[in-house]
Amino acid sequence: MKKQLLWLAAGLLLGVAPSVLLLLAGLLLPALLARAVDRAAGRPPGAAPMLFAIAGSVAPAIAFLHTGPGLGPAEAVLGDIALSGPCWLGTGLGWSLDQLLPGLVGLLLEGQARARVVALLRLRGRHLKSWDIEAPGK
Amino acid sequence: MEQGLINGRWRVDAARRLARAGGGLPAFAAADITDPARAVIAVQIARRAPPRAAAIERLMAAPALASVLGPLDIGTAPGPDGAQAGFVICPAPPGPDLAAELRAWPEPKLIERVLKPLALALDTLRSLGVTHRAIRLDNVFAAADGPAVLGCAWAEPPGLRQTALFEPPGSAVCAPIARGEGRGADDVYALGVLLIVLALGRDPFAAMSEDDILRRKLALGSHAALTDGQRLSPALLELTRGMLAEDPEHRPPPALLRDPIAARARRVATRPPRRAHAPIVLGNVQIWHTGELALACAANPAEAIARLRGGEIDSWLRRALGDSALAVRLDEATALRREDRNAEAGIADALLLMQAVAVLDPLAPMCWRGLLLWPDAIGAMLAAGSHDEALADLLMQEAAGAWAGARPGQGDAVMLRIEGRQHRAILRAGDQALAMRRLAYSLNPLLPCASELVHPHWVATVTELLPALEQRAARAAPPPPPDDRELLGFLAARLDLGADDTARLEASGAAAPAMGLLLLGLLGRAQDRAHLAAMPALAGWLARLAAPQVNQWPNLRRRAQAESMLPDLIRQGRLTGLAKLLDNPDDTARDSAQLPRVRRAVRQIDDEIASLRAGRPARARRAGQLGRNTAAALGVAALAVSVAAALW
Repeated sequence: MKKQLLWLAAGLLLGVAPSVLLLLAGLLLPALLARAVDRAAGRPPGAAPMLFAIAGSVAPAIAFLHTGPGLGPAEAVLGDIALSGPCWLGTGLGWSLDQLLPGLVGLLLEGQARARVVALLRLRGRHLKSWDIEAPGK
Repeated sequence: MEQGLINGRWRVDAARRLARAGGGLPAFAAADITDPARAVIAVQIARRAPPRAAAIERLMAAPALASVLGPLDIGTAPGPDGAQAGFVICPAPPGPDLAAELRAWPEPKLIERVLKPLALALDTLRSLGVTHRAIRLDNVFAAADGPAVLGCAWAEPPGLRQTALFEPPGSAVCAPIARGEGRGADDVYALGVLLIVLALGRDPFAAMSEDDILRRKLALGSHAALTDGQRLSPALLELTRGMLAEDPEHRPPPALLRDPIAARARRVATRPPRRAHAPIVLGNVQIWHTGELALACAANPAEAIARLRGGEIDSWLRRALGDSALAVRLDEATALRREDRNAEAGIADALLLMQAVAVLDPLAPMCWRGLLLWPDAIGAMLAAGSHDEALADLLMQEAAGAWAGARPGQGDAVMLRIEGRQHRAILRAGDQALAMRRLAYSLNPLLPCASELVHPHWVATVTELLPALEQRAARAAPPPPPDDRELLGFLAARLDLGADDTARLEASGAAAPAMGLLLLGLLGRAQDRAHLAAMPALAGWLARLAAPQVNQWPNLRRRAQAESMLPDLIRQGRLTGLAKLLDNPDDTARDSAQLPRVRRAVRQIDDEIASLRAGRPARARRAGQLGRNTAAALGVAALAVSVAAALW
């Protein structure tokens, strides 16, 4: 349903303002690709690449509004590397964070668990050094 | 203090045995090192025949005794075989015993040299509450022209060596060990017999067996049995008639015998025993008197019980003897028992017969499962180890109290009941065999401990026990755990253990460590109380026994501390210190209380470690989610910054 709505919006946009669709497609394409790659690799796709892509799209969108409608200005904005480059770099950064942060957090949690095990073993050792827990206790 | 002396004063020469000086017991030359001119002898005590503690205590506290070889001291010294032996020190006899050269004594000499001095001696003993119970030819001594003197009667149970000739029938029917302290009148009886024998210059029953003598006495009466057909002066016959009366109450008191004329004049009106017009046959013997019937019942218990239950004895008493009052008394005393056929095997029968015999002849001894005994002989019988099973039943049933109740007016029934209750309480407390040994030692304060662990030492007190155990422990071969009942019974009796300690003693019987700990505490107290020297070997032995107990402690630090301190404490040889270290109930209770908490803590730790180890996949999932959420949060932040920058 969600997908159908997205395709419907894209169709409407293609009919009403094809230049806007071109601009959005050009700016958000890497984020969509990253999503597809993650899906293909069996990883749950993260929201970070898209969010970074949208953050990077704010400046090109404002520039496109200032130049006026039409496919030409949209192509010009896309072709201006100073405007579209940060958007694509932001998408890459978002994808990288999405890939790296789970691993880093995993290392942190595992380290905490290991430290706890070591502390518990040390405490257990202290108990066993002082008490014969197999003794009948009388 | 010189070695080998008794109480630092009496030297016993065990190589010089004195024949016929101990009244049948081995006697040895002895010397008083504080007064070498004093003539004393040492009479040896047999291990299983305990000396008479109460009599010795009273006589030693009394001023000098006339005409009796009273005990001067008691103690241990090397015996003839080199081993420690117990001795009673007495003055040496003034001359040979009267059996050595038995001749007919003229009556005046008999009165002046035998009757008067011995009556004085018996009067003195009576005033001290002591009986002699060993007046016989070989235990009365006299110098050539001196007065007769009673020999030593303190080194063995009373009446043990008395023959049927010198014992009243009521005592002679008992086994020698079962005769008890008796009463002063029994000594008067024996003195009367002695006078007759000395007057005759021979034993009138020399050719007869003990049973025949007893039978003759029962059939004719003691006086008639001894004097019938003998040539004796009427004065002596009159005098001895009273002394040999069958009823002890009818015998003259010793004080009266000091004046023979007055004693002769004393006449007690007694009715001869009633004779039935037809006999009853019991045990193939025709019986005419109740006294005979009582003894026949005791000798033939099965047949007597059948006759009692069948009412034949009741019929004989009413019809043949014509004594309805006695029949009624017998019926009252035995009514309950006659119906009680379902009681524990043999107990109801034993009680029935005991009460019947007591009613038929109140002067007869107690009859219990074929035993004839006086209740105050129970201590000596336990010491001898004879008839333990029957005695255990007797004590458990408080039979002595019931016996006393069946013969009112004869003896102190209340005291017998109280003692019976105390003895039963000890027997009921736990292991009966151990309780019997405890009773044996309680009732015989001078009985030496018969445990193999202290052999060959003579150990009659706890103070003597410790050095003996120290020597045993110092031998090369380690002693076994002290689980023999002789040692435990001895300890329980001599230390007068309460119910708690007795229960611990019994409970630890099979467990050497618990026993080691308990002995450390008990013997340690005795060591401190008597200020005894250090006993490292004993300490080491008991510590080795108790050591496994230490391994039961849950607190390992306490274990290690105890193990490090043990060698020093063993070297010091103080048992109390060891006991405190190894048997500290407060620490043990605290550790026992803490152990469950520690166990719980360890269990929780194990559970948590297992849970952490098993939680890796969950943690990975959580990390993935957290990482992606963090990245998304950064994306949102970037978007916000970007929008803000654009709007700015």
